[in-house]
Amino acid sequence: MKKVCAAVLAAMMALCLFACGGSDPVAGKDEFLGLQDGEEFTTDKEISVSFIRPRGNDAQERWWTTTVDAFNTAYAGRIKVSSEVLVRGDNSSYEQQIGLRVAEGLPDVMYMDGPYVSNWAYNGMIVPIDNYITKTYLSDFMDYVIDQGTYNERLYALSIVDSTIMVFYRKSYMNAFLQTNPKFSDGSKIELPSSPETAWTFNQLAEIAAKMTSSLGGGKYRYGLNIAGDKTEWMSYAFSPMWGGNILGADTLTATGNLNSAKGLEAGNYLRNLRLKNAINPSAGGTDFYDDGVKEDVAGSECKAAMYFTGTQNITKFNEFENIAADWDATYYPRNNDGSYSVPCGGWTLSLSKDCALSKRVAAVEFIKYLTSASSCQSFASQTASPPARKSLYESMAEYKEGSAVQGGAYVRIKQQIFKAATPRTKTIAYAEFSPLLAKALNEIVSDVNPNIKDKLDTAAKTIDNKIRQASYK
Amino acid sequence: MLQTANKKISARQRRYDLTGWLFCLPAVVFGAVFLIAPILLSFTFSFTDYHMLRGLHAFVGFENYVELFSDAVFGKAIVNTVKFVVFVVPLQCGLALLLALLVNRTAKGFGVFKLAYFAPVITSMTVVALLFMNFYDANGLFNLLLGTVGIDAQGFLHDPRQAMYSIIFMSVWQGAGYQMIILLAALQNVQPELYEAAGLDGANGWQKFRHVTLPGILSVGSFVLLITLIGAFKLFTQPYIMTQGGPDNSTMTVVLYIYERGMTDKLIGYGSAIAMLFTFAFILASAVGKGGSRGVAIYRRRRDRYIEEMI
Repeated sequence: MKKVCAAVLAAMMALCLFACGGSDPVAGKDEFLGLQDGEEFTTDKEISVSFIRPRGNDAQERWWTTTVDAFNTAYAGRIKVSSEVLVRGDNSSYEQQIGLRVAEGLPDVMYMDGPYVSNWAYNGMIVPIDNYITKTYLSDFMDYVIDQGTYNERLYALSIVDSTIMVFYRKSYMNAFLQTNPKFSDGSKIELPSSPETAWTFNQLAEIAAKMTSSLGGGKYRYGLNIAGDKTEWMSYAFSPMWGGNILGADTLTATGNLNSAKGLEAGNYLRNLRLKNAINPSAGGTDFYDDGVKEDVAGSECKAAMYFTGTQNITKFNEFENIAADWDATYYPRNNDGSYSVPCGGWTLSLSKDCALSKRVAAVEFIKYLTSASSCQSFASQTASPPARKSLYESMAEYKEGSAVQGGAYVRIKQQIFKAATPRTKTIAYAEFSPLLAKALNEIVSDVNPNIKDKLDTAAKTIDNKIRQASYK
Repeated sequence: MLQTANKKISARQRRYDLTGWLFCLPAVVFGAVFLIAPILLSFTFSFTDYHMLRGLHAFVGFENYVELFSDAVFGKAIVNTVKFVVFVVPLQCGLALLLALLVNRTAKGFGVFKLAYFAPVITSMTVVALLFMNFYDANGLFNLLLGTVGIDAQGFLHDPRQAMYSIIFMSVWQGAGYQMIILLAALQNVQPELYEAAGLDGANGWQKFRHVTLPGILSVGSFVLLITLIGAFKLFTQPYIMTQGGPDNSTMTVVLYIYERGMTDKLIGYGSAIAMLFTFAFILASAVGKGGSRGVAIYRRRRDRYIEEMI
């Protein structure tokens, strides 16, 4: 019996090791294997390329369907792309579903969340694409987009559009508020900033939000600000600049002493005070800002937040409602209280999986280049109201041109803050361990009854460090 | 002649055996592939450094198990799970018995109560959890009710001292209907003559319940206890949806922790080690449960002997 058990376990072990078999080799950085710019892709027989992506909003879905179909038509007989669409859900479920497929084999091209590039590259799930794309092609992409897609001095991913965070506000409430000649606690006048250099500080934003909170009767409020987002990423995405770029130390793998530093404590206290000053609703929903939206003759309820601290990916949601589309505007991401300025950016990006065979890689990159071409970037950016990943489009797209009056100049402000201080979200190979725990700690600081802020941050830092050690990141 | 007959019988017997095995085959294959193999794989993985993204690289012996003993969150998860079991099992079973006794009437209209009490069971736990998240909100129903009697708003899911009890309360409410239906069936199987005889002997309501009803539903009751116990140990959905294990890990349970370490952190080896320890604990709990069943059998034998002696 013992022998049988040992044999079964040995067989399973062997099976596991076999299942984790290798993939095609990765070429050196200077070994160019792709097509030169303008060179036509040719092949003897049609190459099939598999592509996986999460389900997006309606505008994104329309774009994906049209664009992939257009690619298949343009490359008929040469490349055939088949798409698989997963429901993203919350709690990083898309990343989990991809992770579960590592052993069985990944699709050739993957659409992935930018902050995971380092993690997936470190774990060998994706391969560099800089052997297949010329430097000239890459020169038009925003520096932070290239930075986000780079790990260990190799480019692994390229984006079509990006995202950034703004302070969105409802013009009707903001104008009414400004007409009251409001003043900050230091006596200076509250005004809308005219440039990223004069963006409100975080403390000023808190003061304004507290002043804008108004009663709706029956114990209900229209809060000055809504900071709600998903549970696993949002809080770390939105507030990590408050740590001054040193949230995980120089090695990007040490939370203790960094995440729970004095700056961390300041950030925690700031978030707690937002609640204590009634500037935010601790149990706000993601739709509070546009709950009064009218769509297809269905009347909304009441707007429950005059400002919304959120990403540009939500603009399409505002625009779905006629009354909101005309009433929203946006001002810059806040400056740190010490005056330093860093704007978190980072969006979904395209990468090549380890399981894309060498013989397919040129075709797969041809698909990535098609999706990231100037025309594709422009159509995606305009249809989804997202900032494009290419620099040149900020000059050619009407809404981003200096002096544009589209949406009261909100898109120009998006451009200004991106060009001024865009920084990729915290770049670390331990993003999957770090981000959910920081987000959880910050969420609990906001929502818990009498939280010990230092304890929360200390525990989060200790747990992150422990998880990094257990995952053997080096 | 006799030899031929024996041969014929054994050939027929073989056919019978084969038919039996063929009937069993789907269940055996299913069980082997979806139950035995995963348990064996999990057992194997628990001794490895298997990372979901990087694969399996080394056999690490008992390293994962040793690590568990210094894992404070795991310790907290065990305490929380035991706390949930200790509160939910008696409360849910007790409430179920009470409800079963209340609806065990033949009077007109009592079917409505059965339906009302059973309705939460057929509602998805996800829906119930989301509903209660609203109830527990700072401006939710419960705080509104507390406010009307002058009690300050409570944190419920956002207070580490109250979060687990809030989940316990919801779980008891949601699940009691299921046990109620099973106990109701048992109650309706208790022979009415026994109550009649007890009445003639001058037994009051409590005595009838203590000496007729309880012994009558004892077997089913122990089954209800066991399934409630197993269900309680597997607590996952409620904290996953309502609190993600927080605040301060006050609602982190063992199964949620297996999920967090295995799926979110991708540490399949470590997650498997937790799962194996949990499985052993489960087997132990089942053995205790089996001991309980044996106790019931002993009680029955004694009771029957007593009745025989009385007769």
